[in-house]
Amino acid sequence: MASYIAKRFLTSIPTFVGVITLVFLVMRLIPGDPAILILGDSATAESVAALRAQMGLDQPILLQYWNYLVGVVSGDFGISIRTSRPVFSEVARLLPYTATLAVAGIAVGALLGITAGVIAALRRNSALDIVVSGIATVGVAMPVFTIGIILLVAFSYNLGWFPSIGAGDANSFSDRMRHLALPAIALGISSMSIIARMTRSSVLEILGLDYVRTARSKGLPARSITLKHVLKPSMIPVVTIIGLSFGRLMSGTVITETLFVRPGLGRLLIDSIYARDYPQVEATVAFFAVSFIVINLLVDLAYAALDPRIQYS
Amino acid sequence: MSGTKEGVTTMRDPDVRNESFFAVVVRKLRRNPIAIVCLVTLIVIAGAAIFAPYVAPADPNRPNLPARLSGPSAEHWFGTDHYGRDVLSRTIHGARVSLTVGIVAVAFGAAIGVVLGLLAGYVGGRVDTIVSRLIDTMLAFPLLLLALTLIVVLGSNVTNVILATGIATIPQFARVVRGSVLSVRELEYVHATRALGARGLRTVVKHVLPNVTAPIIVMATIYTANVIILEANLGFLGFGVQPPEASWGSIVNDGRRYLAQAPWVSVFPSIAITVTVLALNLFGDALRDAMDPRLRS
Repeated sequence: MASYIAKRFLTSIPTFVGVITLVFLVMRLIPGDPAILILGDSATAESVAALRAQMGLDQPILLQYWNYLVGVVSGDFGISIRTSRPVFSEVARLLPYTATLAVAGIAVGALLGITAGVIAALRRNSALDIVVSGIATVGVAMPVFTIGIILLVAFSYNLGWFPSIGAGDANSFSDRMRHLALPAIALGISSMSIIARMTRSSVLEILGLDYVRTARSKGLPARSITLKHVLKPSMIPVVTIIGLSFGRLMSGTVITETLFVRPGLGRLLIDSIYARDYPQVEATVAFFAVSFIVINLLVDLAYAALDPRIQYS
Repeated sequence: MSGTKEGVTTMRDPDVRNESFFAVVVRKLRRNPIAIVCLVTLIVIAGAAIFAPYVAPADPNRPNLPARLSGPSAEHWFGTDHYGRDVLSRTIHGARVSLTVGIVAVAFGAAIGVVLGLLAGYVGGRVDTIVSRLIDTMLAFPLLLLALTLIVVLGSNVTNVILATGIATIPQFARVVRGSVLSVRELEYVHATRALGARGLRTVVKHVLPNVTAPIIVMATIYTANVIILEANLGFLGFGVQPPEASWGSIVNDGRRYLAQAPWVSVFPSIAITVTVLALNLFGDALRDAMDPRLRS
């Protein structure tokens, strides 16, 4: 197992290097001189030259790339044009908000999705199954902002149960939770649909296997069969789907943070794009992509815990 | 089910011995009520988009300030926005942009993705390594993030939104085609054509490509839905097409600041997106069932 982790980790390195290289190249393709974009058209030639030197833009591209790589390894992506603070400290400051939202979203999605999927599978072809499968199918087709808008209009503007914007008072746990509820549910419903569909088909497949029939025929109670013999093995593809839906979830955080005006990495990215704060955009995009690689790695490792048949060699 | 190994042909299915693949698929789709409902829905939406100037009750860009933010009524079925523009007319015209982006971007992404996938899967070796690394790298970006980054470079207008969303779908097509080619490449008939002297390119185009067409068509249907959502997300964030042009996502974005007073501005185009994407997804599922006999239980 340890050697598998090491090997899997090593195979992620080329993707990691590829991702940060792609971000570097794409950011250099932005038309126009970044220094002029920042200072405006009326800037003097001297001030443009000074800023170019400060940003390292007067160096050859390969040297710029090398400095960039060194910066990535040491966590130094440069200074934000908008806030004049190190871009990575902005990412670190806002990460807890986005991480909380993402974890809450996936928790809501997994809880609702697995419950709905298991119920639909155990009551196959019943009215309940049709309703659950119907909701899951429509849910997949809904953009996150649509779900968010419906929740916002219903539970915030009309019923007044939840606040509509912001992340709440940092010193009050209950206030933060009230602010987290709607964005997390919006993200959760979006993931729930896919998780429910996968859970349903996975549980159905396991229910049809011989060893489940054996467990039934030796008189084990249905509850114990479901919990002990069916649920655990049927979670393997579900974990894959939860892992894959992290990409969707990251895109979802950009949307929900914008809709609910919450601080976080998604909003940081959008605000930085609007402000043409390219060092910040570069760092934020790279951070998102690298987290995605790490999450996929963790998902791969989670299989081993769930399925002893999987041999890592 | 026998004789359908690798899911690449239905010709050995005893029911369908004398029909072409296309005829089999059409016959199976016609027996599927969900597929028919979805297809009719898509035709109606596409028809409304194509004939938007004749179907829309009003000019989508004509402001009418006295009637601003008025709710759904006999005159304005979907209400009006903050400039008093008719939301129904804007939604119908928005369909043109959203559908065009969906279809053209997927055609673009599929064309390049298929070529890359064929190359990587069939040629193998170093070409495969380079293409696979590129695919892995692009897939390491969440779809919205990749499209957003490309929009930053290209700038926002319809052509660039198509380019950005199209490029974002290339790795998905390339990966699926590569996988399909790897399984088809080792089938006996492909070995046989090579033994008969067919050269690489001819084998790929005449013998391998037709057998990976089914997964490509199914994927294109489902990815059209994904790109429509992607474009809507870009529009919602303000990076889609620019005014006066409007897509479903940008209309939702227009209504965002007025959600408390006038939710209809955002809600109706959101419904249009959901219905279109739902129809495309379900039709894609039906198409997959019709094209892949292994999945028919």
